[in-house]
Amino acid sequence: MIVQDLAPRLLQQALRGPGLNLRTGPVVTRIRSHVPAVERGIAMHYAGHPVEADDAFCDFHVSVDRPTGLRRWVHPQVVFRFDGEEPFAPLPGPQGFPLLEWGLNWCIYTYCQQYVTLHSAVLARDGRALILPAPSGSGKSTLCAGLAFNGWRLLSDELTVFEPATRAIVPVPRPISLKNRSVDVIRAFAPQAVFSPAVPDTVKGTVAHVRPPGDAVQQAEARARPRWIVLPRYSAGAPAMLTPAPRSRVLMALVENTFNYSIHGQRAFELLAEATEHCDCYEFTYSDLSEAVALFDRLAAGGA
Amino acid sequence: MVNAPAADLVVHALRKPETLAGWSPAQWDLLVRQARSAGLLARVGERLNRLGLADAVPPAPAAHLLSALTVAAAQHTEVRREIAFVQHALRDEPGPLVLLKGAAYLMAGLPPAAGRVFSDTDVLVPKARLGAVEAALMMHGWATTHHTPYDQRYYREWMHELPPLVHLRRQTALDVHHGISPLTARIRTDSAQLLRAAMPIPGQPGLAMLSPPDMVLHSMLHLLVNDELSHALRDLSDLDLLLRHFGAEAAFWPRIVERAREGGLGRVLHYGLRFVVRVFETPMPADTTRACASCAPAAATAALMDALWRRALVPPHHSVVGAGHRVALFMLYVRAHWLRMPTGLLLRHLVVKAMRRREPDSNPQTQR
Amino acid sequence: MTLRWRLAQPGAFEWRQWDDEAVVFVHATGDTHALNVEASALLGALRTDADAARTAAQWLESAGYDLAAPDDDAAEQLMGHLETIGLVRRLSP
Repeated sequence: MIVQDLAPRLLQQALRGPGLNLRTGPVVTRIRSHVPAVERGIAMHYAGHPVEADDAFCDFHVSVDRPTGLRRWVHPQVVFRFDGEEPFAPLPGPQGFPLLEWGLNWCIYTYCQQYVTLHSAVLARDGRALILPAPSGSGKSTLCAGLAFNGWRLLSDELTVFEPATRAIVPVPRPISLKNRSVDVIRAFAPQAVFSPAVPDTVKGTVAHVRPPGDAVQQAEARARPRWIVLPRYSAGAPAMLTPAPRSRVLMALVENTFNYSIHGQRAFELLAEATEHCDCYEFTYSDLSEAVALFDRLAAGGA
Repeated sequence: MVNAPAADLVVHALRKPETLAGWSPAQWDLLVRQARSAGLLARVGERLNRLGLADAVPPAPAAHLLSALTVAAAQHTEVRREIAFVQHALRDEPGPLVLLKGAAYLMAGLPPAAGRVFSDTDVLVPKARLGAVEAALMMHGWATTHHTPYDQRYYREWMHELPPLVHLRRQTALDVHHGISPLTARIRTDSAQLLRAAMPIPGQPGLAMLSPPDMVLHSMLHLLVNDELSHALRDLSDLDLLLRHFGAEAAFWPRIVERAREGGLGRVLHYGLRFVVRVFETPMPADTTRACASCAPAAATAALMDALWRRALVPPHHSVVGAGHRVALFMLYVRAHWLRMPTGLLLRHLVVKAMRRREPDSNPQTQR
Repeated sequence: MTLRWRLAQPGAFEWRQWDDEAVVFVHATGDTHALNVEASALLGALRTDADAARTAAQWLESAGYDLAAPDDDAAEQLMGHLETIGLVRRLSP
């Protein structure tokens, strides 16, 4: 059963009651919430995601609700809870759905330490993965969204999850988060994309989420092998260009973007070094998304 | 399907791991969360692996056990590194470096090291060497924490340790003790005696640990006089493992009774054994139980302690903690401090803490 | 000035090199470092002959460091940097 199979009344009952057991790739999260925007966000963005049985094993138990006390009513806030604990400070009321999304990312990189997890977007074509490690503001999310709607399967816009034993990348397909101008760019570029209402004034600016394309969710169990590592950089007016990047630089970029590098130590070093060795590595600058996407098509076809 | 106790699944999992094969997904779900809250998830995982029961764990909970074991292994690596750095910094100090608690379990390969989660490294130095040790550590990059004058006095004058040190570059924590009970405590132990009885750790040149009776008594003291009780069950589990390990040798039991008597720790031994047997059914000779009975408190106190500790020795998870849990923890907290300091100081300490809680910017890390 | 250095003990670090630059993982600290072209080349030379203090000196001279100049401590700095991150050890005279 998937989320959109649930009648709205039943979805609401689940969220306000025992919880909705939502599967996203390898993990099942029991989500509770009385916040209408969260309920709407789930109905929209997770429509195609599997719902597990009530008595299933849940990896995470979370909720997004109003805090107890004054801020329940006065300048109402929302707070994320993980199994009864509150790991973050509350946020303003309208930010319920972004808070859920940030919380779900946090669950993975905090409680799934068996993986080597990078802060990086990752997509795949024919089982071959394209990894885009980059800090915020590099245009990574815009590029990721553009590619996800043009022939690349989204594995994640935020988390590249490596399984150390197999060195495969595990998909965690979830809504793509976009900020500020990016939202307009993708609306224009991919008219078929389904957007949540934009939420202004978050710490990251104006944030909106895009429902992941259907194939990303349907193929959530299909792992991928790293094939390309590209360090993207948006630069106004720049033509789309892929330049071979020195591998030592790429390896350091991967190391620096790994959430739990020190937990895995040598194991992470060897895993990332092997990926660097076997991947084609590039630096990428662009300003026009269509040009960028076309260039990646050529990359996938074997020449750029 | 196996009937599991309604509340505390963690103790059941540790005592009867072979029964986990029949558990439902919902039971596993609760066990993982309770064990995580108690700091015992890695221990459960390690126990199952060691007994060859890992295949009986369904893949979803198995991933969480693996995650906890991965973190525990990383912490072990870090503690080993830290000890090497501390040894290097203190290489001019006479005598071996005496390790306490988790650091000792790890380097000596003792059972409680398995699946144990660490937060810091603990060492014991003679009181007379404190100044030199502190100076040497600072020269090698460690810095003090808890900078308010109150906190500094709390540690240096009233407790049995330097304020916790942090290495500036590595951001690791080091606790330097010069005794195992506070200077002002109603329970007094002689740290010179502890150091004299300390034993080299086999295969680890330059490192030493407390003698088995002292190590066990320290573990009990740490549990019973600790004001931070979120890991009480884990500390009790460590104690259970130590007793099973050392207690296999018959001579251990009369030695620990004697040592407790020497150090005025008879009551501590009584409580320690009582609670560990109650929760983990630790085997021990009848002689020992009888010998400790003479150190039991009056019936009313005994009943109160039983009630308080029954509430404290559970996973601190919302599915388990019942009515009166917070009250029990508070009473034990007060008692812990009562044991550590004279009444006047205690009152002052509680007031300072209460006022700190009101400050909106109070940093949880500086609270004592 | 005689430089006397040796590589830190065998197995002290993991090493990967592409083109001119190396990335090392140091076991004692758990740190990972990218070495510039010079440091990478020097470490590469030392790896082929861990005990040869002379190798370091030869390499440095061929790289343009003037070991005889009393106030040129660029060589010392380079070796000092490698020592700080745990890759080489100073030999006692």
